[in-house]
Amino acid sequence: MLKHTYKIWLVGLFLLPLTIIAQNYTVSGTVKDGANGETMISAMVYTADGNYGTATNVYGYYALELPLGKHTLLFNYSGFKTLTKEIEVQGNLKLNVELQPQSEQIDVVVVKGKRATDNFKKVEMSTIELDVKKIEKIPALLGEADVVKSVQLMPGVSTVGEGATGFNVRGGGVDQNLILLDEAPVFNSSHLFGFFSVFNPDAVKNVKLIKGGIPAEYGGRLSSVLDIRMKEGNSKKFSGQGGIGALFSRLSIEAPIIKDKASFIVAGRRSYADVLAKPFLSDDFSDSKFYFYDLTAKVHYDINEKNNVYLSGYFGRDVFYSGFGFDWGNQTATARWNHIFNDKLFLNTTAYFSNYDFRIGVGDEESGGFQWLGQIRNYSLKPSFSYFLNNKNTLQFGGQSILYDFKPGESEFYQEGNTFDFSQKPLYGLENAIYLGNEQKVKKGIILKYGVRVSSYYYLGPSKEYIYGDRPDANSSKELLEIRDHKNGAIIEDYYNLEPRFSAKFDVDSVSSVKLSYNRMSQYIHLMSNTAAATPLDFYSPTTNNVKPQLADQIAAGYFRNFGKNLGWETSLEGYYKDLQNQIGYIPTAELQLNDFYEGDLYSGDGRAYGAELLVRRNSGKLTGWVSLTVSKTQIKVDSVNNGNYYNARFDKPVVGNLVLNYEFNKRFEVSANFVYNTGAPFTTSTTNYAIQNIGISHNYSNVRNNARVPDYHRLDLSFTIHGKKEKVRKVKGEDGQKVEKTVKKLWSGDWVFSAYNAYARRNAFTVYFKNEDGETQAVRYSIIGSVVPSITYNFKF
Amino acid sequence: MKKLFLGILVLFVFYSCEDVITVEPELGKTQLSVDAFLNNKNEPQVIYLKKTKQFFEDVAQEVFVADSVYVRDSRDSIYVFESPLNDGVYSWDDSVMVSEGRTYELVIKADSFTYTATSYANSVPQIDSLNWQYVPAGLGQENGSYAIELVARDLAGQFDYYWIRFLKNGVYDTRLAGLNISVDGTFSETGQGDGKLFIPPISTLVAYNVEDSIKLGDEVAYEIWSISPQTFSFWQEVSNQAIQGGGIGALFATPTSNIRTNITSPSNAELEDNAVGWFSTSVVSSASQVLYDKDGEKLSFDPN
Repeated sequence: MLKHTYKIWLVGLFLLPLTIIAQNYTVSGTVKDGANGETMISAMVYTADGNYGTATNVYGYYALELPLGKHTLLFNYSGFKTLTKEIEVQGNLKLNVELQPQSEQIDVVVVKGKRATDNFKKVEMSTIELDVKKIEKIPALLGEADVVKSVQLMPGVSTVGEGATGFNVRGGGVDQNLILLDEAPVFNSSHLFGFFSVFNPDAVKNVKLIKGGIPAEYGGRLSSVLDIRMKEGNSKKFSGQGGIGALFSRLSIEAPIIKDKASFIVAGRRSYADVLAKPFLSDDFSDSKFYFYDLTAKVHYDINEKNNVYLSGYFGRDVFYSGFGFDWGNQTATARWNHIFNDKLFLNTTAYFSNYDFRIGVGDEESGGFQWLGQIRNYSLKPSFSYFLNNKNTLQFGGQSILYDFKPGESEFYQEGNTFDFSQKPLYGLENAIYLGNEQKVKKGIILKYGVRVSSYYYLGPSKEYIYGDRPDANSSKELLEIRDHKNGAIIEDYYNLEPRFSAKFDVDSVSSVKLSYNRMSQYIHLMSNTAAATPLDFYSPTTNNVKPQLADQIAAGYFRNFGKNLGWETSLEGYYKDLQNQIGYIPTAELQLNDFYEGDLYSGDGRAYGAELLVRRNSGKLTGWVSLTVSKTQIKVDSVNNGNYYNARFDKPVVGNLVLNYEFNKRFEVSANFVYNTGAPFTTSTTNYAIQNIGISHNYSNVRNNARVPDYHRLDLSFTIHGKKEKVRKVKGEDGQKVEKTVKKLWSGDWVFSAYNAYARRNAFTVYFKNEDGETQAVRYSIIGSVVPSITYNFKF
Repeated sequence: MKKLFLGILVLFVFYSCEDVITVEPELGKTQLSVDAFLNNKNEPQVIYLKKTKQFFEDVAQEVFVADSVYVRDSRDSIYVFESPLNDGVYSWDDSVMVSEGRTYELVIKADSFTYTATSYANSVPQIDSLNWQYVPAGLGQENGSYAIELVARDLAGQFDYYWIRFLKNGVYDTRLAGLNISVDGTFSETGQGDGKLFIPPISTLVAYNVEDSIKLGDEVAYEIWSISPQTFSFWQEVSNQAIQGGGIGALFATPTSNIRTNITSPSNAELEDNAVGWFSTSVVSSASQVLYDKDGEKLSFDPN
């Protein structure tokens, strides 16, 4: 039955667009920022009468089909002056445009004509787009604008607590987010165990989080896509920016290589807490190091009208040293080629390499010690086509191939000239996918977006295949029955998944719409993490004969409406239900590190998550910001944990509310505040205890997992920004030889940001644990940040 | 391994804090807890029977009085454990009890219920010698102390499971942090340590972590207790529960789950009549040494 349904889907997908006969001509081109030549993502292109419209793709390219004759074409992007072009269509037309930034004056932006940029007009739902300017306005820990922390203020996104690596989207685990930096996946998005994200905002152009209705071109993770696009670099003139903060400093430089054709950007950050702390450390710690750094670089070259190439890379590392060394980090390299076949067919081909590894070590072979390395690498090729069939249909199709190379743990111990090898064997996997999707304007007010992704996965040799039997008891490892050897390239196990995707938008009236979506996702790599928060030591396991691919089905529905003067208040109310299969659990003594037999220590189970999300947002005017409220439930059920019943996941947060406000007094001063509230994270508490051999043992009488919650979390952050003057008045010779005053941009401008994180010093519990003090058992709240964290940051641009 | 890098994290978490709060505890019913670790040492063998207690109650565990407690071995010898004071402490001191290669069955009769457990006594390697080296004050160690190394060679062949216990001046280190278990003198069933010397930190970890420092003149001792794979898992679970501790370590804590028990409760017993606890039989080897000043000698693994 199900198979039959899929067939109808597929046939429909190919036939639908062909039924519409095109008789128009195509206007196409790129939209760029006039100040620096950056291509603009999701800029709106539409006719003044509102009958025809589209948006630029992630490479700034658009194609719009128009009938013969005269048209008024508008180009619009938030924060930029709307550009109006009078055109006469007599054939296909190439039209590249540049938009100029709005002047710094805080004019209330009045957009005339149809507001095609409004959220309720788009077919996308459960999607959040943030540009870096917005992210920079949100008060942040130590005054440092942060991509991931900003996303966490949006509905449906939460975190276990401060210091927790990664984030959770609609009840998904931290490994269920596909985090892409210029299309290369980033496996650990956190510096300093989650206090900062690894993305340097100075090098980021656009951030998009997709929580539901995930289009067919994305796949490989269950819960979300965080698509981060880097700047291409200023192709007009040399410029730079940076900041000096309490914990780290930033500097980025961008410049044209060939004006308007080729450019680069290089951006770096390094923390210096260790340098500052050095005088205060005792001799024993004087050689201690603890810092992180990252370097982001990109080059782009517009070869000609039809071909563009981009090369980008990221290299980041966290380093700790105190008698022994511990460091970890991501590296990515992406090469992309955009090719325009004709006015309607656009191709992007991406090849990337991505690596995450950690190293721990002390001593060497001579003096004794140990070394430990864990690593995941992947190599991918991904061609993706956009075919602007006509004004009613835009097809997306392509494929992707990813080769995974896992080194879960390579470890050696050295003792008296002997070397003990505790390494886990390397593992290999190959993931392939092809997809086809169409965005179709069925009729006025109705847009459908549908598609399918077919993914396959091969667990590859050389490897040993472990065949397990049953567990001797519910808490023990599975019994190992047989080990089979497989040669290089052998397919040990294969899996195939059909992933339908669907979204629809129906206009209710001129200011509101209803949207629906469904997506099935599959995931072939799994983070092995059994701790309260993910750690840099957690390794990714491939899908194997024992570990099945994770699957998720999500349905979502929402009501979208804009209110107020100029429809400046954007609101949405969404509900979702997600069903998860092949979720992973762990036996109580699971040995996940340096253990070839870890698969025998895993439980398998299901998950379910549902919730409602409300967002009220104002994007223009002196007062901007948003309120979000999420009410949700996330539960899992794995084998014998919790007596085999559903229980609340560690990241189950029934109520999450965020308030983000920014008020600009004038050109020079602005204040920002955000308030965060969420239900305390669940944990498991004991009910009774006893002693064995004088060692105290805690016991949970009814064996219910996550039977308690830490106190609720709430926090207020404030920031105050003083902008330096960006312009100055200079006397220049006028045309008539007289000196006249002229306003020119200053070569250097600086801003001071004063911020207070956790302004009322709330001691938010990361966890509650129990200790015995003088025979009395006490509950102790552990707060990662228990006081106000004030900071001053100086940001500059030149 | 985890413990090693936990310490370092404390360095950069400047803003963290801890304070005592009140939580509404969920109450559980009390159950029988059995603490029976028997060995081949020439000393009285003791089994402790108690009732579990409410988690937040600041009281000692109540005693559990059984009708009879005895152990039967695979050669049908029966060892009857007596509790003359009816204080839940049942002992046998007629002879050396545990012998290598025998299976032991514990039987506890109380009210209408009979609880049973079995354990096999495995063999144990001898301890060759003890080494020691001064370790100056450092991370996790306020004062200078001595690291004591156990030199012992794993028994060749099958996987061997050991519980390594440290004594200072005749007193066992019973801290959770001192819980030291091993397979073949290494961490797990890799076969790498088979027939080889015990590796650090298995061979040195316990002594290095003793909070009150070890000084010259102290008598230090190591004991290796042979244990079963099940007892190894039991201690492993206890050790995992121990990592639940506070501080930044909370980030790396695994979910609390109940510790296994090998005490079989009668099938008709309600949950509250089910027992918890452990029965284990061990063969023990030991070595002790009074520390004196010896210059220049180093451990195989430099603890500095």
